[in-house]
Amino acid sequence: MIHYNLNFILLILSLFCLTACTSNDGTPKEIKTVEIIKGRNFLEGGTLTSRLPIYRAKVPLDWIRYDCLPSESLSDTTKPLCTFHILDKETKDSIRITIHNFPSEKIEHRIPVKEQINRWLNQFETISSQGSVTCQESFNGFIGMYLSTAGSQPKAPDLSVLGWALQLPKDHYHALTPHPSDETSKAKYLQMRADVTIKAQGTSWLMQRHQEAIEAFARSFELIDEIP
Amino acid sequence: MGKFLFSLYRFLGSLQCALFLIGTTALFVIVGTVLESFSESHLFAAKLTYSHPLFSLLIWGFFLNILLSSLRRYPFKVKHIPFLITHLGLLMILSGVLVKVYFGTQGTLTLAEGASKQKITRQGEMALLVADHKNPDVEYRVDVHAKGPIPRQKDGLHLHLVNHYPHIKKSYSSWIKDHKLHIFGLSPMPIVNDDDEKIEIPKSSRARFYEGDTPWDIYAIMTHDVGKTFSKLYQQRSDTPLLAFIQDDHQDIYSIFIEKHGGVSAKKFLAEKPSPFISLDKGFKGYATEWILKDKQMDPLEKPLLESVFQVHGKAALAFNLQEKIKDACSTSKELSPPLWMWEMMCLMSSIPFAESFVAFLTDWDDSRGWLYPKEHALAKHLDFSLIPKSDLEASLWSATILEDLDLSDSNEILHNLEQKEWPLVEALKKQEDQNPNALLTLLTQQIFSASHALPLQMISHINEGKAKIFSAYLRAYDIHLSTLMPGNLSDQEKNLLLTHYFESKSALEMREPITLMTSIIPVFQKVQEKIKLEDNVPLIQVVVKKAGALQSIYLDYDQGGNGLKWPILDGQYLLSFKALTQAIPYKIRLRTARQINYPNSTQPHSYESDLIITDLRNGEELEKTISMNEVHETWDGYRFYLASMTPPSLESAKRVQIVVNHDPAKYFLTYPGAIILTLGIVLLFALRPYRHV
Repeated sequence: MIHYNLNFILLILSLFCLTACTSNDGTPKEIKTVEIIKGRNFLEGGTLTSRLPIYRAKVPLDWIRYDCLPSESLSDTTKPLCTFHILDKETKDSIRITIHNFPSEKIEHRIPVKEQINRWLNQFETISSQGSVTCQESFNGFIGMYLSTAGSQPKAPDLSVLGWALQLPKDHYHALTPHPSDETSKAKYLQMRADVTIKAQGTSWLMQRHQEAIEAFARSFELIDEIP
Repeated sequence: MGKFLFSLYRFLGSLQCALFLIGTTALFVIVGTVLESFSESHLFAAKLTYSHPLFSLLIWGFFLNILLSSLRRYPFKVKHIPFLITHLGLLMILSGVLVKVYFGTQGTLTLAEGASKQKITRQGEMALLVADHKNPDVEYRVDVHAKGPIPRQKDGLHLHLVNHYPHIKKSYSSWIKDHKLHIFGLSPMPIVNDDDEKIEIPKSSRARFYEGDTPWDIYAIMTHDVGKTFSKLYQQRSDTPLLAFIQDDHQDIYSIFIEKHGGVSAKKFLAEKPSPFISLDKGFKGYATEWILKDKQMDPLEKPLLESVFQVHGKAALAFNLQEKIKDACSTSKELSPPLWMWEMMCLMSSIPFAESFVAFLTDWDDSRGWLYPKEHALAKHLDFSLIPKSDLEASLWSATILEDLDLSDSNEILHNLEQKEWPLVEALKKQEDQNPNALLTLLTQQIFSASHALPLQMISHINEGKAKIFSAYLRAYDIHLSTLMPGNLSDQEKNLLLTHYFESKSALEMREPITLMTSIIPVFQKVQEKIKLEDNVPLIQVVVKKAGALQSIYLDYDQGGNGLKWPILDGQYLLSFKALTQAIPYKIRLRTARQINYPNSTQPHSYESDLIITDLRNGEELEKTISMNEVHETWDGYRFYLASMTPPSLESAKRVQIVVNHDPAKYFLTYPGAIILTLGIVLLFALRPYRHV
């Protein structure tokens, strides 16, 4: 004869309760959009080549993006691929984030990332007493250096800079060096294997406020196509 | 017969059989654990236990035991329900295990940041990869123990596994192959064995590298002692530039260029992996290495070569370096010591270069091996001693006079002579710690200079003769001599630097245009003792390839990572490699970033994390997922992705992770439901206690 009792029912109920769980930590997530960033164009036989979509990154919705005109040539590497602005509505202060790439035909032509960091540091007249932080970074297939510094420049007495100087490691670079006869991949791979810099500059207090978002943006920066 | 079958049926479903199976399984597990610990090899232990057919038989035994123990209860009653539910759960779990064993997948994915893969490497399974110019690469499963034809359907290419070696050591032959020196564009040249009996090493050939230039001598040598052979070669060389390729006992090759002034450019090609490694037509035409002789390039020389070059040119290089230092000192208007100033004045008067002439004087003096300069010197004749204080001149004269009469070769003789001459400060010399003749003489010179005011005046007119000797005595008082100005123990780096500067100054190693020498690279395999740790073994297979009457045999070593070289066959029609078998999965995995999470304020890793983009190739859906050591990603169709390890980044390579991929096709309809049913059965057994005696 089977006996049903209260203990049995409680045991079954507890088993059901134990299997129920949640992984939601309750923190609200910032809404971001995936922005596509195109590579450089070049003048070939008097006409501008088209700009190929090369990179993507996750960008908060309230950042403002600026791109150059489609008719403009970006063969000059001092011009950024695109710029993002973070505006503070109350003070009208802003942070400017610029993305550059530096295509190279050969691996020997690349400039060491340390040189890029030194160039940024040399742009300062004085560095704040807290000094600069530089460290090695590696993400999304890039390796390079990260710089966080603040100080004064001739036109900006209170300037804070967050910067990333990135390159592809040798094996990725070689994987993106196509056979000379492979014309279709040539232009795209030239852009894909280019060195990249991401530089954010603005007033120190605003930079502090947005540092986390800027770092998340930089670390989400990646090539659209994976390395072959 | 029927009785036997019935007894068997009862035994297989009995408690005794269950206990036997549990005991045997426990024994297997114990043996497996001990073997793994002893051999440090999971593969070795698994081969003898978990992957052994007997172990599968045990699982089947469990299945049968549980099934029959349930059937023995027939006809079933209500009180059997909890028991039957429990056994049904167990049977489902065991079925899940068996389905996974026969139809499941276990493999690994090695991914670099920024890259993606959709093929896993199957553990312990090997394949032969065939590539050609047109079609995608194809893999054929290879069982190394089953020699014979490897099934291949396409274009009449027949592959036949001929031999298998469990473990080999691999190296490469580059410049020297089959006892001949091979350089692209030149005929193979014979090799010479350099042994002690041969006084002179004969050249292998000559070749003209620049139009209208003298042909260069080419040497191809095998030796036990590279240093000795190079030294011999360096000494026997003439004014003609020479190229030498010297192979040592480790099969490493030193390629050496010696130009007419004696400047050396050298490069070592390791047998383990010659560098650079160049693929010709993506490997279809094989592999090669090159050596580029560039203008004024003197690469740092390795020990055995460096010593020989330094022995010949070291002194000249040091003298040149000293000369440069003196020039630097003069250009920065540093105050010179009195003897140097006196020489400088003499140079100014005679329009002679100061640094060069002074270093030449020092070198000449050092070559004479005398404590003082022993003879007349053409330039020293013009020295004007009136420029220095009279007391210094007196002291220099006395030093020259006293030291001239001494036997300078032995410390005891020096002291004995000085005692005989009643030198008043001889006791101080005896107490000197360093009784080396040079140290004694330096101290004696300084004593003479300190006591010069107490010494009788010399005939100053004597100084028209032996001016060089007096000047050298003056230099000794300031401890100036080639041996004291030159650094003593030089590191290899310093020696290399000195030689580079020296040969640059002589305009040595001037090339009209760079010369590139190339040679093919071929692998060389050596059979070695198999290791117990099976993971460390590198198996080798021999494959015979046939197509349309053409036949070729090739040896291929196992490429565990699958990123190694493919070797050409049949005149570059195909490429072959022997690698781990890969299997496509319905997902593409892209690694964005891998992180090492450290313990707070420490560099000790606490965990590893990887951000992945997982694309389901069946519907194109993308999922961003972070997996870590303790956070596995599981898909709806039974694929599990574990993060196994991480390799830090370098200039060569981005961070890499190894992900273990496991596919259990029966998980959701057998294993997990079975576990729930089993739990329910156990709960019912405890709660309802159907077998209790009232």
